[in-house]
Amino acid sequence: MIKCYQAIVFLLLLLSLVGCEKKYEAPVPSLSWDEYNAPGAIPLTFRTRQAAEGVYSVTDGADMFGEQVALKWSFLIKGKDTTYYLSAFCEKDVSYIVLEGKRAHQTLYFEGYWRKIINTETGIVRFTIAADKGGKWLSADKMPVQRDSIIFSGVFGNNQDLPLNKITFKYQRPLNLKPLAILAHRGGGRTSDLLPASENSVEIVKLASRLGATGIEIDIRLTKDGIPILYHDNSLNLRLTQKNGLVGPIEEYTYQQLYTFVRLINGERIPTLAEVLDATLRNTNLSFVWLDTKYVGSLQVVRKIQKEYLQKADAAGRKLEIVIGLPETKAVDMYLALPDYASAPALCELDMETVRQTKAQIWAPRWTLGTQLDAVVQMKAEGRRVFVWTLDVPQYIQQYQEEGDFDGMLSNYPSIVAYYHYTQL
Amino acid sequence: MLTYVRSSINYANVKAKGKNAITTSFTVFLLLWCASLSMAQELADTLQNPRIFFPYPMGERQWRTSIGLVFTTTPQDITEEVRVRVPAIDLHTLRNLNSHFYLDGQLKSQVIQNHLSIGIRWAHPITPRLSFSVGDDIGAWFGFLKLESFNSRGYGWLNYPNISLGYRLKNDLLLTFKTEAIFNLHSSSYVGDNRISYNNNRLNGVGFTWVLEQPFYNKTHFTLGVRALYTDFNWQFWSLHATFDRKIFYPQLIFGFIL
Repeated sequence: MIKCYQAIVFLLLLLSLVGCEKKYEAPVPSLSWDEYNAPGAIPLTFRTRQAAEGVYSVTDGADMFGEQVALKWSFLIKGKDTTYYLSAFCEKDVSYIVLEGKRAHQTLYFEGYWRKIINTETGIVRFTIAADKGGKWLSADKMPVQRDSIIFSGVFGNNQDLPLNKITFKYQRPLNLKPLAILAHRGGGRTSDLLPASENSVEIVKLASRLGATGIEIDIRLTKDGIPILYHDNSLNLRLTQKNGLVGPIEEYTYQQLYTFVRLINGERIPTLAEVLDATLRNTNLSFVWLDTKYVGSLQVVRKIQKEYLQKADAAGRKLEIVIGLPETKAVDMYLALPDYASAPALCELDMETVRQTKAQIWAPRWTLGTQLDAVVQMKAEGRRVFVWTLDVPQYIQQYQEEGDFDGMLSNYPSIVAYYHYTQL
Repeated sequence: MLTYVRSSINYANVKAKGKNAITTSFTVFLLLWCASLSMAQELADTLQNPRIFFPYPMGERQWRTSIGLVFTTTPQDITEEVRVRVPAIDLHTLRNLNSHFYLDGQLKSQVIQNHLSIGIRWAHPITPRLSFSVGDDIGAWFGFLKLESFNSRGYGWLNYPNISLGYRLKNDLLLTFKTEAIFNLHSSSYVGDNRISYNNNRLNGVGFTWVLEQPFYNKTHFTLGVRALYTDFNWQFWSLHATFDRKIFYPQLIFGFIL
């Protein structure tokens, strides 16, 4: 039989494993470039920004970011100020670059950071477009018409190191602008992907466009006092929240308790659905919100908020769709119990017959079933759109775009969906 | 249908050549084999205890088998809030070849996904209590998942060069520490009619195993171990299509009865 000391030896071996799990981090580097912050530098105009978008070849730095990148602008509204971001979506290791730009005389300056989302690699990146490399042209608000007419010349570094590695982008062609809904999972991405904001937070929703998203999927639960909030897991846990002493199902706590005691992993509060829709409407140009109902219960309160924000979007002249997600039969039952369900925009993840029963405008099959071309064509013939979820493997994303016929794609990596979409010929 | 082959330029600093590792292993084992054949005196099996992991020549014994379970704790990065210990049936067999060499075969099965490995060991006693072995295993895995929302299957090849160090605490208690490298040589997955393949040529991870082997009940012997894997690919989670390119920690508990 197992003797006492043998058990102790084994226990010590087990204990030696405690703490073996490495904690990964990928903090966004802080930026300070004198040229970029020079007093004479001014913001870029709409025409300049528009002209700089496109597919670029990577002539220096291809081993790090791939052979080509797609450059696209997004913006974030903060009160009366609007900040514009130029994102570069790259294929290699699902990397992306987020930049802000200014102009001084006929030279354009861009400063930002790069990140490889599948690992923790990140760093500073700086670009200039010299006057004779397209800067003069862009400063005069003229559109480029030929290859190599705009050249981003820059440097990048690792983490907080001074950027010294050469990187060059050369303009090749305009972006593919065929419509595709690029939806970011959990508001923009998972907490496990070490983004600078926590999943299902207001902050990640504000970041989503920079990551390539044109829309978001968010997870809805109800607090004990019936307030719809954003949270993915069944229970409060250290995967998503900082240490706070509260445990158990989130539905057992009132909103005030959660507001007071709980912070998400990056320090944000758990937001209400209304807060997130408000931020989506007022601060971003996201055009689609998928409300993934994670609770079992009446959808009345969610429907009320959906209706309210659809009306607000209409009033503001904003193109914004908000759909109730129906991931399982219980949610379907709750949806059909709504008095006005026929007019409540919905997205159904179940089989085609259930989609027809719910009259959902969007069918969302799981990606693990394949491209299902025949079924997709059939659903589209019935006037529905088809969004596939949740697709993260880059090669499959490429295949599904090339061989499938989807109207939208949900991913934790919207930047790689954007890359394959915008660079498609 | 397209086949995508991922070139692995990244991780240049930690990259090791998987196929080269196999070639090197083969050469080393060939030399060791010749050396062992040339030894004039056959090693006596001075260690009578039944063992599977303990690195020691098998002596007169031709076969040794154990059956048990391996529990792998699901990593938070991949399975998020769902953290359970997923058991796999573990059949482990040794086959004596000569005074120093033996074959090591292992089948791990979770029905929908299975892993079969076979490798060779060269074991050598250093002192009456201390011994070691070097080995190299080739593993093949395959899985299929055809449920309501899944239409997936996959397979792949792995290589595990390994070194074990054994210490006899008392006559009836054997402690083994094994360290191994993990090379994911090839993996393919199919979703519906779509397929992707990876041909890697680099070190994907490492594993460390501590095992106690001892008498248990009615002349049976028991294996109790822990294995810590740090790898960016684990065949047991192929169906989740994890995309993380970082080492993830997979703790495993090993239980087995030596037959």
